Amino acid sequence: MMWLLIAAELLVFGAALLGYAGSRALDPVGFAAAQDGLDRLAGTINTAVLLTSGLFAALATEARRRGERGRTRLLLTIAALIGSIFLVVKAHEYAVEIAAGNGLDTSTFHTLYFLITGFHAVHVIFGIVILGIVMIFDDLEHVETGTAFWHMVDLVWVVVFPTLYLLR
Amino acid sequence: MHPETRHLVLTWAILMGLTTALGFAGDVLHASRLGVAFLAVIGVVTLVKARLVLARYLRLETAPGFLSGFTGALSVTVALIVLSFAVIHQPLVAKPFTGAPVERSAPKH
Repeated sequence: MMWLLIAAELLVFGAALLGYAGSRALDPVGFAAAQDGLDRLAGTINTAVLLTSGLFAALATEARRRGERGRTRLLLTIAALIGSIFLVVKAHEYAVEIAAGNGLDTSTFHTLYFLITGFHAVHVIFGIVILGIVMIFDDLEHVETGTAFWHMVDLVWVVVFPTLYLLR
Repeated sequence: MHPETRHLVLTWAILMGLTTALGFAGDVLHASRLGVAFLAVIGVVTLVKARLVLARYLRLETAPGFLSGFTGALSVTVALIVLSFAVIHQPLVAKPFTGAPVERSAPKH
C-alpha cells in the first residue's frame, strides 16, 4: 500500500515539475529573472538537512530490525527534529519572498514555486507527524512504513530542488 | 559499528558530497546563467542521488525490478526537464539602459 502511495506521489510531483518546465519554456526571461530572487544556498542547506534526517530514519529502521526499541525511538526523534529544521529554513525563505513583494499571484514562476514547494512542505509536516506516530506504535512494519514515507519526501525534494532552484 | 549502519553512513556521506557538487555545478552563490554542460551535470547528479535514496534508504536494492522501474521513471522525467532548459537556453538578462553615461569632471589638484 505504501509503495502505491509513493508511486502516486512521485507521479503527481513529476507532472507538476514537467508543467513547470513547460511554463518556463513559454516565458524563459520572466522565469530567469524571478528565479534569481530565490536563496539557492538555503535550498542547498535544506537538501543536506532532509538527507541527514533520512539517514537517521534509515538507521531507526535498522535498529528496529535488530530489536533495539529504545534506540529506534531515539533515532526517530532525531530524524523528526532535523526534519523540522527544514520547515524553519523554508519558512524563512517564504518570509523573504513575501517581504520582497512576491506572492502566489506575482508571476507564473512564483505561483508554481509556492504551490510545488508548499505541497512538499505539507508532506514534510505529515512525515514528521507519521514519525511521531511510529515512535509510539513501533512494530517493525509500522516503522518501515513510516520511514518509507519520510524517504519519499526526501526523494521528491532531491528532484524538486535542482528543478526549481538550479536549472536556468 | 554495525555493517548495515556503516553502509548507511557511507551512503549519507556520498549524498552530502553529491549535494556539494550540485551546489558548485549550479553556482548557488551567483545569479549566473549555466552552460548546457552544467545543466547535464545537474541532471546526472540528481539522478545518482535519487537512485541512492531509492536503493539504500528505501532498500530497493533488494528488489532490482522495482529499483529499475522507479529509476527509469525518474530518469525520463529529469531528462525531459533538463532537455527543455537546454533547448530554450536563457542568457543572462542584461540590465536595462537607463540613460546617457554621466561625464566625470577632471580631478582637482
